[in-house]
Amino acid sequence: MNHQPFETWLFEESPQDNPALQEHLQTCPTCQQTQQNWQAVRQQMQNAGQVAPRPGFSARWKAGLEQRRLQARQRRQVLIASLVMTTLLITSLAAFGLWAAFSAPAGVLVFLTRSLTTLLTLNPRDTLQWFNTLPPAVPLLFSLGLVSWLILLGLLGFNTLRRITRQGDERL
Amino acid sequence: MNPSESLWLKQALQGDDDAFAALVEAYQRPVYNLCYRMLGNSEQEAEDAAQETFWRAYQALRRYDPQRSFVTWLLSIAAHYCIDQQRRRRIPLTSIDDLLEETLPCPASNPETLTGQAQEAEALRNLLQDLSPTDRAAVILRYWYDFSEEEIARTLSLSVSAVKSRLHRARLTLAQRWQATHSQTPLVGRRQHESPAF
Repeated sequence: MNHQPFETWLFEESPQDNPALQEHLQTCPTCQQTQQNWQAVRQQMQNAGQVAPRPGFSARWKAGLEQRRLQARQRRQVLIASLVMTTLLITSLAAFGLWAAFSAPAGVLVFLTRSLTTLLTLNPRDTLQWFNTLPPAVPLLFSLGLVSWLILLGLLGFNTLRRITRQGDERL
Repeated sequence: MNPSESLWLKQALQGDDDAFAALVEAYQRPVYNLCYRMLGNSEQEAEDAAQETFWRAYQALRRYDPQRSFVTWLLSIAAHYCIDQQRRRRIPLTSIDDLLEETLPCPASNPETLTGQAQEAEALRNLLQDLSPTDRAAVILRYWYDFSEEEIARTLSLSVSAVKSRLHRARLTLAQRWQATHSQTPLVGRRQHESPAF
């Protein structure tokens, strides 16, 4: 059986003011039961009232605020460090890729083998010799990478200082 | 919002943490209650959710529109956070401590009254748990905070017609659930093994 629109009217704020609904309730036990159930639920909700937190809630919030700030600072530091490392790695790989692209494949192979041997032996004289064997493009690319990195770090530092200064101004 | 709360808000916007703590003190109860009802009467979860709500409000304070009620804005953050938590969790959890707190009588109170209150709290929790998180939030805002359908719509980022339909569905579910629970419960006055009354 379709109980509309009575079922909708049952949940309105003043169902007792609706004569059509009241008439329907006289003859419909299903809607009568629904109305009684809903009134019982409402009564239960009214009795429940509002629950308060344990005393000291705002003090715990303040303590939590300090902790969250520290965590946020640490996360920022980790993010910057990983950004720096990733860019360094990408720059080095790009520099090597550029150099390898302009060199003969055999030359690249020889260079890699020699570099690996030098690093494994860790002989200072060999290390110096290894630097001498580097193609002229490599120091240039390395310098370019280093300079771009210094510029990027400078910009990051400047931005941090600007934000701290602005925060300080706002607190005044 | 009273004048001192407007002042705290202004000071908090200028970076005064003590002023924001005063706002936390003023609005802790409505925010905590919403989290408590939404998260199935778990005190620890409600505490964590209420703390998270104030942290999010603190971070987003510059985006707060002063034309809007501050407590409505806070409740909106709390409701969205609790809905997200419920969607992630799906299975309602209750800590052993909370269960003990609900069932163990307080020496200062009348044990019979307290058991009745604990049973009522549990019954209400079970009723609300049957609703979807958004429907539950709508019911809580309607019956614990006397929010109008328009206010609920703004708080939960829904249309007014969606709120109306959600409230209707939720009321019907609660009424049906109530009947299902109470038709299974034996009569209170009759003891176990007692012969039925003719």
